[in-house]
Amino acid sequence: MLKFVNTTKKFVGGEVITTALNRINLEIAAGEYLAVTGPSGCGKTTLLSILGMLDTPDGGEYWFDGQNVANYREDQLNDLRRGRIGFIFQSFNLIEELSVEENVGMALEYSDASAKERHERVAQVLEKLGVAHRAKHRPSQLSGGQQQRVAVARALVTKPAVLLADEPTGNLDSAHGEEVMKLLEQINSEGTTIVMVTHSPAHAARAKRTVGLLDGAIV
Amino acid sequence: MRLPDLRVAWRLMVKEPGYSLVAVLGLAVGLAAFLLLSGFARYSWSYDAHVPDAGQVYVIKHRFNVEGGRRWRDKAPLMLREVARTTPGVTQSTGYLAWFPLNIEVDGQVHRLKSLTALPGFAELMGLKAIKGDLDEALTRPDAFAITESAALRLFGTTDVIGRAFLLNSVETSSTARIAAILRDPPANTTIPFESLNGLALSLVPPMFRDEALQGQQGWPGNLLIRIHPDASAAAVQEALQQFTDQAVKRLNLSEATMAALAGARVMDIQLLPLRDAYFDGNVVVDAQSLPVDRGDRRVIGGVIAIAALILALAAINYVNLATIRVIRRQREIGMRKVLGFGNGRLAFQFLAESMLVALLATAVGLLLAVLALPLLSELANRDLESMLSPGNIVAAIGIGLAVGLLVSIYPAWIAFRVRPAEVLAGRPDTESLPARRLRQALSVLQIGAAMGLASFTLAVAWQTRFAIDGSPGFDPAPLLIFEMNEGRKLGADDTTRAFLAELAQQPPVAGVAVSADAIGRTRNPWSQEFTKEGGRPVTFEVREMTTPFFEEYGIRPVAGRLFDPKIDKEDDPVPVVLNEMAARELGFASAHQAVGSALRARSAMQPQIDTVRVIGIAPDLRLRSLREPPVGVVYHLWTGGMTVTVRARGSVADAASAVRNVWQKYFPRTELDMRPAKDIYAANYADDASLAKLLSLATIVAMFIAAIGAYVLATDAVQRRTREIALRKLFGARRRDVGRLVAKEMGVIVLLAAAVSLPLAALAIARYLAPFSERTPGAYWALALAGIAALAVVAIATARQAGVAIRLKPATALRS
Repeated sequence: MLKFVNTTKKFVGGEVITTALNRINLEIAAGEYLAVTGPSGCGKTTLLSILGMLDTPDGGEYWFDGQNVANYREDQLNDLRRGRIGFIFQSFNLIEELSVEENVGMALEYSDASAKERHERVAQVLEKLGVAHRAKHRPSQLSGGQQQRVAVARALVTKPAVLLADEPTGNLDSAHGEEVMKLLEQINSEGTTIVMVTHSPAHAARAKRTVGLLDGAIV
Repeated sequence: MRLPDLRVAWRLMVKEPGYSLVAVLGLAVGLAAFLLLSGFARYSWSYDAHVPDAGQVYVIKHRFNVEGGRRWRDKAPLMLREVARTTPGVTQSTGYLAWFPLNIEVDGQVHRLKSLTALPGFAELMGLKAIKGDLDEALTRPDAFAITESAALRLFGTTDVIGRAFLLNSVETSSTARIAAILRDPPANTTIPFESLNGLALSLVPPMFRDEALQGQQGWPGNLLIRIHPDASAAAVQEALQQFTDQAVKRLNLSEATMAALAGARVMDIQLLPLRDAYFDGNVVVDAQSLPVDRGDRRVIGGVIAIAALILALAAINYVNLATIRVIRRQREIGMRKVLGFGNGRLAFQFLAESMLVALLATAVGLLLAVLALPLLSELANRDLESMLSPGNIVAAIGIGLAVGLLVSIYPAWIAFRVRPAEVLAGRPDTESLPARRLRQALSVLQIGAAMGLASFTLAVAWQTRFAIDGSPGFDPAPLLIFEMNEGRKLGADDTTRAFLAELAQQPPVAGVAVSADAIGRTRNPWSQEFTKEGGRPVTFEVREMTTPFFEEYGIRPVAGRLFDPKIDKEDDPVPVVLNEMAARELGFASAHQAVGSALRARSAMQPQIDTVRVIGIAPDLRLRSLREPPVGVVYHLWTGGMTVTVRARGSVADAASAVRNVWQKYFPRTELDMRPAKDIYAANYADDASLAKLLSLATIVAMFIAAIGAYVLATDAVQRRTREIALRKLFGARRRDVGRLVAKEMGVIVLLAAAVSLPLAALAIARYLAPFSERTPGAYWALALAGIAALAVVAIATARQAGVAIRLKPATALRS
């Protein structure tokens, strides 16, 4: 479903060139649950950005669902990504000015779903993740675990084929972290492909496959 | 404030040149506009302040209620000078006359001087001192006069002209006189401007005039000034002068009917006006003897001060917004400083140093801009404002700049105080409360609203002025030229004038010549009479005198009957009169045609006899004066005593003007011809409106510029604040246009709010401005829509860059940081 072929990504900062990904070759099948581990600065987040089509590689290929999108324009990537990839972040990235249901509903704003359908889907996903009773609250009124549940709900509300999670438990205590890990397992069991970046060997071990990164290369 | 703080502030400025440019330029433009507008207001408030102890000096005004439209004049019967001199509390009583405009011949060229004849004591009261020569000699000898420094330089290129004799002429008499004194120029902001000063002893002054000026036996009016002792009451002095006048007017032997028509009012009212208020006394009759003095309006000057303060406030708001956004961006640095031991005091000094540096640079740039824009402002305001750039004013400007720098540092410093290092360094920024942000947004609404409101009012003033100037007066003024004959050169009583006008009429480029007491569009000597139709009630109408070709030369056609005709009517025939439509209606005629042929009884307040006149025709209602004055009933009658000549060009107006100049030179070689197109007479009524519109345009441009910066700052703030949201929306598939729409929506709400706040106020202001006009431009209120669109366009342009930033935002980078 997702495939890197000799994929390279470099960042230029002044006179310094940093190779974030160095000729990566990696294939992720549909329904897989992959954990990407490695020390800080090894290229994990860059890998996730390219997987999520938020960034494009400088060299090599990136195949998404049968299309090499390495040279796609931003609007093409946008169209391809819409509704097919969900994202979960370490810092939740919830918008404080919006309520829980508005935060989740935002993911459907650019879909073809009608207002009624959007409302129903938001209600369903909040119910599924156990935060329906907090629908009218602001993110700051929730615990960290609840905030991440809302973030997961936002990622799932579009029913994506792929879920990309960047350190999803990084800002949570162990109990709430465990809750999120169980949620991911459940989501994967329902058929969603998951790629998770994590520092935690214990959490990485919960995935079906683990890939290690060091200095931009798979080890 | 420490040197290292300033050094850091400087480095920050250099590091972000775009930010620094916007911050400095925004404040500089605001300061420049404030300095110019407040300087103009100060200039206007300082009229006649150069007169020693000016607060104790008063102008004696009078209003003759029997005729003349019961309007105030800034003159009074000359006999009151002597009366005032002996009134308790009056320490000086003097005045000046503008009866004898001097022409001076230099190297064969005749130049008109703005000349005054000083009454005894004038130089002392005004504090005049000669910078060369002897002023006393200049004002007391029959062959001497004084001239100002700039007039000497203009005429001779030097001020070393003491003792040099020149040929002077006035009222067609010539004599040689020498310059006995050079005077410092009166400041531009005076209601008593002059280039030359002579005494009553000057041989050119006819003895009869001299006697009247000193004794006032005939009751002629002159400009009188008195100085009152600080402990004396101006009201008591006014009452004493009024009592004397009440007795003196008894000599007029006014008829019982005239006295009855006064309905209890005095024959003549006397009023003392503080000299310092003379500039704002705009409601006085301007006659042929009035000095060419600009008058101001207190409300306009008050408005200018308000606009100046508003513009400075808007510019300061910009800086506060910019600095606050930067604090939000710099919260990690601020948090780090706090961790390293910086207390709030040190932080405050750091922000003070930054804003002071910006304020100092902005003051320097603002002063430069003000210097560069001063000639433009002088032109726009139609005033000589060079004196505004005095060292004192420059020091004051620097002080204002620094005070602004101090004030605008307070809010960003307060935001910096609130930065919590632990939160910020842990990646959880929390810097500005929602109410504080809303307040800043409200201030931005104020900025855009102010620009929008100002723009709509400016457009309305400009359109109304254009409408008033361009509006048809009831005839086509394009081929008409107007000039004044010299004093004593009345057509009916002077053979030279008759020959001059006859020769003028024979010139090929001249189609015709007419003489009238005044030009249409101007009323310098209002004159009215009471008219009664058979069985009707008496009605007072304005009387306009003219020669027989007048209506023909103006191309005016009758509404009913006929107008004056040189082939039928005789000059100075007192019987035939022409009414305007309004007069016919007010007399009670059912139609214009019904009025034709009717006899009217005419009575002058000053003459006991009643004349009978016959209406030969009805003229259309012409626009006889400014649109601010309501149209009135008018009776036209024949008289050759007028001094205003109208020339109609046959083809080219320039050729006709040239022909007039040639014939004038032949008949009156020693006097200057002052000729202007008829359209200028109307335009002169709206000179202040035109100046106001231009001043407002300048203020609007500045306000729009500041609003543009405000919108830019607001958009920057919005994009910075919503970076995470925009990135997320992009993750969820938002297209470029969706992101652009997001920014546009936020700014659009601001513009809508600004419109909701400012446009109703602007509509009220426009309504108040238009209220005194009898005719109004139909498009005045479209100014509101146009200003709204202009503000929207300015905001859109200012926002475009930040919208671009939002559109190009990389979600991966934004969410990672």
